[in-house]
Amino acid sequence: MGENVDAARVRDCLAGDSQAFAVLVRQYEKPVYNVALRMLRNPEDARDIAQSVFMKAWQNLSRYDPKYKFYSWIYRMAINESLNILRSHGRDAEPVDERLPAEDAGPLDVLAAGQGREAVLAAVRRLKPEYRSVIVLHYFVDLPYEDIADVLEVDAKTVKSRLYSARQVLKDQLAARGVT
Amino acid sequence: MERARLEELIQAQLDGELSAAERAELARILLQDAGARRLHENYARTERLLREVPAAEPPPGLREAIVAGSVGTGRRSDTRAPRRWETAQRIAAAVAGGLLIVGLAYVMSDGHAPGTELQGSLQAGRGPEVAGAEAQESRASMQAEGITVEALLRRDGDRLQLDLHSAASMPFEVAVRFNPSTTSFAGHAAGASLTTADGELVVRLPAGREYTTVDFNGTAPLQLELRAGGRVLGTARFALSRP
Repeated sequence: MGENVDAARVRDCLAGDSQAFAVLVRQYEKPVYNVALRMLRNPEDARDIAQSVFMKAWQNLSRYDPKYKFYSWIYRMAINESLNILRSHGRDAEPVDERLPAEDAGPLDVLAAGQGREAVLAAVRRLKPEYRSVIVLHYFVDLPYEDIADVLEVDAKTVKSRLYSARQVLKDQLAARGVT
Repeated sequence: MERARLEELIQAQLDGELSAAERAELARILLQDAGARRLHENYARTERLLREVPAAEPPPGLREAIVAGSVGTGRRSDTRAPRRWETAQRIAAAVAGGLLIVGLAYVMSDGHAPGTELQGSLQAGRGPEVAGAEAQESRASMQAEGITVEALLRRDGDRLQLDLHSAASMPFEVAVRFNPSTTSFAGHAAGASLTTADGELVVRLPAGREYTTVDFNGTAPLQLELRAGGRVLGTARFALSRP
């Protein structure tokens, strides 16, 4: 939603209109789920995070500052919860939703299996969390730099720099696997 | 040619930030240097793969579980303790709340109430009434040339919410026409690609499965036009009665 519409819905929620929150859930359920799924590649964790994010949003609606975009607020929660899970696992969560090409799979194996998409998702998963966050928000939720900066609470220059490095790493990883 | 400069130009191109001079500089380099062309192609392929990753559909029942776990509990950290005079209101609210949850579950199941849907036409009717709100719904289902659009228009007071669910084999547009003297564009979903002109809002949607929402303030009716490849594939009109 545009920020004004979302802010109006939050105001409606605070005034007792529960349906306004249901509309926000309907609007942002999918991107929030996708943020968590692409950060972790685990549908169970993504589902839990989506539920947790909206529950926290509901419980803390009065703390939402309408100066900022509502979706920045909830995407930030989704990213932070994903990072918490990554930290709690000590490293990346093991992917269970997509079959990854074997580490020693050659270029023909990868291409023959039509796994360009799988390969890029696997490469995203191998990125450092700070790079992965910008890739997920930029490519899978379509946020511009300024919004990514709001979500991650860094400046737009940092976002641009991370995106630059993340693309380099992805390009090299995919080239090394014969995908590009 | 310095590699760092080349990468800078390629990445700026990916972001659509190349100046005319930089575009010319990059074109000249690519023409002269096979290694630069390989690097450019590697970036372009990576970009394509990233852009082609489809959005995953949330698991069935997630939305209902979220609503039941939040709105359904009625708990918020900013909820103040009820006063005595509110007791009667609370009892009434509890009854209304039960109805609300049923109503929300109904609305949230993709916002579709059972009923007839005519291809390429619209069906008007009262939607589920939620907590006494005078909500109304009108829906449309259009199919043409591999494009399916399910449109749902909801009105709550002066607020109009248009939901567009689509599945398409190619990019297309939905033009929403309205009377600018009675209806105005109020907002749209994050990431939606659209343009507005006097009395017309054009939502551009890519191939694949998509969902987006556009909000208006006003009285309706709104007219839809489905377009692809510069052609009009169909039109339809919502038939909500005026408030």
